[in-house]
Amino acid sequence: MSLRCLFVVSITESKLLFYRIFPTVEKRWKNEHPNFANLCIPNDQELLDPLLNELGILNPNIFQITRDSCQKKLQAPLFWIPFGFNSQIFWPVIVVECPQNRLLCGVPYLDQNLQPTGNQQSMCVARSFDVVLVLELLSKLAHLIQLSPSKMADQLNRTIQLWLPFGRASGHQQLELQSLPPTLQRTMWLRSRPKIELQIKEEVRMIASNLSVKADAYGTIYLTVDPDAEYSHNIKLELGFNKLPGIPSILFHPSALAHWEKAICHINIQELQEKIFPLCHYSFSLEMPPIQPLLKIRIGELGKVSIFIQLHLGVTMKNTLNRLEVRLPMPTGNRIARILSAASLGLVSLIKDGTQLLWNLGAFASSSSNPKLKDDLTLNVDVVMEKLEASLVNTYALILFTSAASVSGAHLSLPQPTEFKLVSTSELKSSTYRVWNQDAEEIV
Amino acid sequence: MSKEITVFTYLPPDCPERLKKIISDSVCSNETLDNLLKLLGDASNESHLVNIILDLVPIICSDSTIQSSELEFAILSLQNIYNMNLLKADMKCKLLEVIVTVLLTYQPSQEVVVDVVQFLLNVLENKTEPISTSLTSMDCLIEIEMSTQGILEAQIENFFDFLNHDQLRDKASEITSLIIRNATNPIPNQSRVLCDLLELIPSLKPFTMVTVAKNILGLCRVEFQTELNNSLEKLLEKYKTTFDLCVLQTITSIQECLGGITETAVFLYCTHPAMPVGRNLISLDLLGSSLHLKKDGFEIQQFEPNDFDGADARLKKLLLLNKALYNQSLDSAPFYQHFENLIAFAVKNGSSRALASVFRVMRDMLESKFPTNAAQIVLHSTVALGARHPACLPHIIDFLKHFGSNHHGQLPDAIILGLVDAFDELENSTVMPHVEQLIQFFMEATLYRYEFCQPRMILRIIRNCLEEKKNSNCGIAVLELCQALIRNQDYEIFQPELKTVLSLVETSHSESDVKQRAWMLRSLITHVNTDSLKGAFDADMDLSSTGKIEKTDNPLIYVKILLDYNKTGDTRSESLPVYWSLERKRSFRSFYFPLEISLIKNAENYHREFVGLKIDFIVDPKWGRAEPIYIPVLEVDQVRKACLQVHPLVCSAATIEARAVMSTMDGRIFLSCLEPIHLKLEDFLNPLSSSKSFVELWDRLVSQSDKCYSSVLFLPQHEKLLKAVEYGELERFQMTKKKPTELAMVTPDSFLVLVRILLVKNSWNAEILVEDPSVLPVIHSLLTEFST
Repeated sequence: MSLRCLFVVSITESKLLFYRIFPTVEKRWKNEHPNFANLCIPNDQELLDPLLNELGILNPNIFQITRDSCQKKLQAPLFWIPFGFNSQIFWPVIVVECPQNRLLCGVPYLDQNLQPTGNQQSMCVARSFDVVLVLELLSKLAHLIQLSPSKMADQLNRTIQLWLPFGRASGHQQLELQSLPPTLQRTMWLRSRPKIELQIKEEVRMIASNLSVKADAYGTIYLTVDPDAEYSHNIKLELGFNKLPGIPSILFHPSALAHWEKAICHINIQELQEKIFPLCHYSFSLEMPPIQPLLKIRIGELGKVSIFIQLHLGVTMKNTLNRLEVRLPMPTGNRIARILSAASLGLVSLIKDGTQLLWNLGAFASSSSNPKLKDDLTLNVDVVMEKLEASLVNTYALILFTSAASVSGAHLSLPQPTEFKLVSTSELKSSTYRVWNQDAEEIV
Repeated sequence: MSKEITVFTYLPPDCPERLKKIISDSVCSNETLDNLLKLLGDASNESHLVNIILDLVPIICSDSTIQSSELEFAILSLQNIYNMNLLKADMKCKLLEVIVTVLLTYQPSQEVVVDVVQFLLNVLENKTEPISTSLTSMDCLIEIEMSTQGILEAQIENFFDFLNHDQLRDKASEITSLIIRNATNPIPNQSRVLCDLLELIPSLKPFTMVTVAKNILGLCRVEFQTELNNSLEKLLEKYKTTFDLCVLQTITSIQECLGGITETAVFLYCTHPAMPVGRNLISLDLLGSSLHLKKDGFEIQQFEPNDFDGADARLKKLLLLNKALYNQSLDSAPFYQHFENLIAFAVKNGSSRALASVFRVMRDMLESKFPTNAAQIVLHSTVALGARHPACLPHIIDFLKHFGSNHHGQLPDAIILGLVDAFDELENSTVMPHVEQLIQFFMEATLYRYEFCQPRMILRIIRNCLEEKKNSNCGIAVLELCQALIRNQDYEIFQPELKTVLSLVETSHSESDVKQRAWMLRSLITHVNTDSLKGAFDADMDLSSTGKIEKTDNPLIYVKILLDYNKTGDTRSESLPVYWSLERKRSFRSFYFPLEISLIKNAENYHREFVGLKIDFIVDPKWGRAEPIYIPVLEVDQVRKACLQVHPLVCSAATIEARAVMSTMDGRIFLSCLEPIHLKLEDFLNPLSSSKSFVELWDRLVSQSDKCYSSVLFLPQHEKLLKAVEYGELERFQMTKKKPTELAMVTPDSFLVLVRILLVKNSWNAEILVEDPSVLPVIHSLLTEFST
C-alpha cells in the first residue's frame, strides 16, 4: 500500500489548502499502468469540482450518472472520481471528514483495472487491505487539519517527511510525535509531574415521534500525554461509568489492554505509540433522553400556523447546560412570512429567509443563569406562512445543546499514586436530536 | 531560466542568501544541481541549509532536461556525502530518502539500482549507524523492491537476523514478506520463514501487521493451519475489543483463511455509533465481501438499519442483511420491512445519493435473487416510487438501462407498463413539474416493445402537458421523443397522436428552429406513405360507405391471442402482477393481450404482402371497448406482434368480433372478417403481487368494515375446483404456492377480491371478501364455473 497523493480541501472556500504528490509512488504507478501513463492526478478546479460532485456536496439533488448510477457500488469512504475529460476513467480517493468543513484526502495506489466499471468482485478482496491502511494513515494526520492553513501545511510537510516519505508508514512511528502542534515552550523551571489529559467527549441523539422515542449516546475518551515527558513505564488507569446501570459497548485503542472487574475497567497502556490518541469509543442506549421535547403544529385559517414546543429538562442537564436552541426547518416549499406572537423565554426569530424558525435559549443556558431555568420550557408561537405548499405533518424540530457534564458519568482514575498527574474534562453535545410534529391533526 | 524560477518558489522564507545566490547564478538545471551538491558537501554541519538543499535536490532532478548520466552522478555524489559521515542522524535519513527518490523517479539502469541496493545494505549492516538510519535504509529498500520487483530476492537472508531485533522487527518482517510475495519461485526454506512471520504477526505494530498479512496470507495454505490458528488466538486475546482497522482486517483475513469470520470486535465495530460513519462502512464492507460468514458469529438484528442511520449505512446494512438472511435460509420479512423504510427515508431525504441507495439495494436483490419474490418487490417499489415521486425518474431510467437487456425477462417491460399506466392516471398538475424527467423516461421506454410502452398513452400525456404549459421550453426534448418513437416503434400506428403533438410544438414555441423542426417532422410522416396507405390510416374512415373495398369471407390473416402470458420459458422468472393497494384511485384498468398476426397461406389467398393493415374489434358498447390495431406491412412467413387493448366496463367474459381492412401493393383493398376472440371471465381479473401477505390483506380488509363485503359459497362439486387448483388453472391468482387455496385478484375497476377455500364440518366452502357488493356475483360465477 502507498499513497500517490495527499491533499486537503476546504469545503466552504471550495479550495485546495494542501496538495502533495509522492513522486516515487506516482512513477511506479505509471510504470505499472503504461496505458494510463499520461493520466496525472488532477489539481485545482479540475480536482475540486468532480470531487465535490461525487461526494454529493455539489448538485446533491440532481442525478449524476457517474455518482448515482445503480451500477456503481458504494465504496465510501473510497470514492472513484471521473476525470473531467473522460467520464469513463476514474481516479480513486479516500476521504476523511475533519473539523472546520475540511476534507483530508488520500489517493491510494490501486490497480486502475479496479475502477468502478471493472471487475467488482475482485475489487472487494484486493482493495480492502489498501483502503484500511490508507484510512488509518489519514486518521493519524487528521488532528493537524484543524490548524490554520499555513501551520497545517508546515506540519503536514514535516510529518510526511518524517513519517511517510514514500507515501507509507516509514516505521518511525515515534517520530510522529514531533509533528504534533508545538505546545507551550516548557522551560525547566516549570517542570512538574507529567500530565495526562483526558477529554471525555459525548454526544447524545434522539428521535421522538408520536409512536416512539429512541435515544442513545456515545462517547470517546481522548488521551494526551506531555509531549516532552518520558514514559518509561506502563500507564495504568481505571475507568468507570457511574451514571450507567451496566457496562457500555466499548472499543479500545490497540495499545490498551482492558479487563473488567464488575463495573470498573482496568486499562493498561503498555507501549505508548502516540502521545495523543483516542483511548476508547463507547456507546449505550438511553431510556430517558436528557431533554424530552414535544412539538405540536396546527394549521389555522388564512395561513396562520400555531407552534407549540415544550422541553422538559432533566435535573443534571438543567444545571450543566451551556447552550440551548431549537430550530424548526420548514418542509421544502414552505416559508414563514412573519411571527404574529410569541410567548416564551429566550429569543424567537426567523432565519434562512423564513425557512427556519429559531428559538434561542442561549442567554438562559449559561452557568450563571441555570438556576433560573424551569424544568419545563415552553414556546407558544403563531406565525403567518408566506408559502404553504407541503403538509406540515412531517415537520420536525432540531434541539441543539451542549453541557459540561457527561450522560454516562464516565470517569478515569489512577489506581495508585504515580509520577503522573491526571487532568480530566467532560463535554456533552447533541447530535441528531429531533422531535417530529406530534399533532398530526390539521385544522384547515 | 524558467526552471530556476520554479526552484525559487520552493525556497522557504528563511533561505540563506548564499543558497539563493547559487541558484540565481546557475544558468541551467544541470548547473544548479552540481552547485547544490557541492554546497551540500561543504556545509554538512549546517542542518538548516542541508535540509533545504535536500528538499530542492529531488525537485531539480525531476527536470526532464537533466540527462540520466547527470542523475547517476548526483546519486553517486549523494552516497559519497553520506559516507563522509558528517551529517546528523535525521539528515542522514533524509539523504537516504532523497537518493532513493531520485533513483526511482527516472528510468535507472539495473547497475545503478544494484549499486544503491548494496549501498543501503552496507548502511544496514554498519553496527555504528543509529537505529533511525537502519530503519530508513530498510524503508528505502522496500521502496526499491516495490518498484523493481525481485531485486532483493538474493538478499533476503540479510533481513532474517533483524526479525528478532526489538526496533527493526517490524520493517524486517515487512521487507521479508514483500520479497517472498514478489519472488517468482519459492525462496529457500520458504515454509519456515512464513511460519516465523505468522508467529510474529501478533507482536507487530498495526500498520506492519496488516501489510505482512496482505503479503503472505495468499501463500499460507493448508499446511499452515496450526500457525494461523496460533496467531489468530494471540490476536484475539490481545485485541479482543480493539477499534484499530488494521488489526481487525488482519484478524478477519486470517479467519477467512481458516474457513470463516466469527466472533471478533469487527461485528461490534461495524455498527458502533461512536465510530465515524466511513469506518462503519468499511467494516460492513469487510463482512459483506466475506465469502464465509459463520452463523454463530453474530446476531442478524445487529445489521438491521436504525432510525439514526443515513443512506449509506442503510444501504450497506441492507446488503449485508440480505446476504446473511439468504445464507442462513431465514425469512426475508425483516429485510423487506427495512427496505421499505429505506424508500421512505430516501424520499424524505430527497438527495440523489439517498435515492441511489434504493436502486442499489434493488440491484443487489435481483442479482442475489433474494428474497424469492425480488422481481415483484422491485416492480412494486419502482412503479410506486416513480408514480409518487417523479423526481426519481432518472434513477429509474438508469436502472432500466442496467436491467434492460434480457437478463430479467419481463421486469423492465412491466416497470414501464406500470409507470406509463400510473402517469396516465395522474392529474396534470402532478405531472407538470416533472415533464422534463418524464420525457427522458418516455425516450427510454421507446426502446421497449410497444405493447408495453404504449406510445399513444405517452403522446396523450405529452399533449396534455403541452396544452397546459404552452410556454414550456421542452420543445426540443419533445421533438427528440417523437423522433425516438418514430425510430423505435411502428409510428404509423400512432400517427394521429404524433401529428397532434408535433402541431402543438409547432404552434406553442416561439423559437423558429423548434417550429421548423416540428413542421419538417410532421411533413415527413404525412408524406412518406402512398395514397392508399394514407387512406387506410384514416381512423375516421367509414368502411361501409366506400364501394372500392372488396369484401371477402376468407380470413386473409390469422390473429392468435396469447392468453398464457404468465408462462415464460425462463423457469426463474415470475409472473408480474399489477401493483395494487387499498389507497389506489378507483379507475378502470385497461387490459392488454399479446397477439401474433400472420398472413394465411392457402389456395384462396395468393397475396404475399399486405400494407396498411387495420384491424377493428367490435364489442358490445355496454361491455366496453377495444382499440383498433394498425400494421404497416405484413409479409408472408412473417409474424407481427401486437397487442389487443380492451377497456372493459363490466367484469365478465366477452366475445370480440374482429375484421381487418388491408391493401395490396397493386392498390386493391380487402375487408376480411376474422375469427372471433373469446375472453374468459378470469382474463379480466388481475393477479395480485405476492409482495403482500394474504393474511395481512384479509385482516386489513376485514378491519375496513365500510369497504368489506363477505360471502360464503357452498361448493357442491368441490373436487372439480380443487382439481382445477391442483392443475394450476388458477395459479395466477395464488399468492403463495404453499397455500394454493388462497386466491387474490383485482377487478378491472380496482376492487380487491380475496377467496379462501376451506373444509368446514365436512363441507367445502369458499369464503369470499370483496370491496364492492357488485363484485360478489362475478366471483360466484367464476367459482361455479370451475366447480361444475
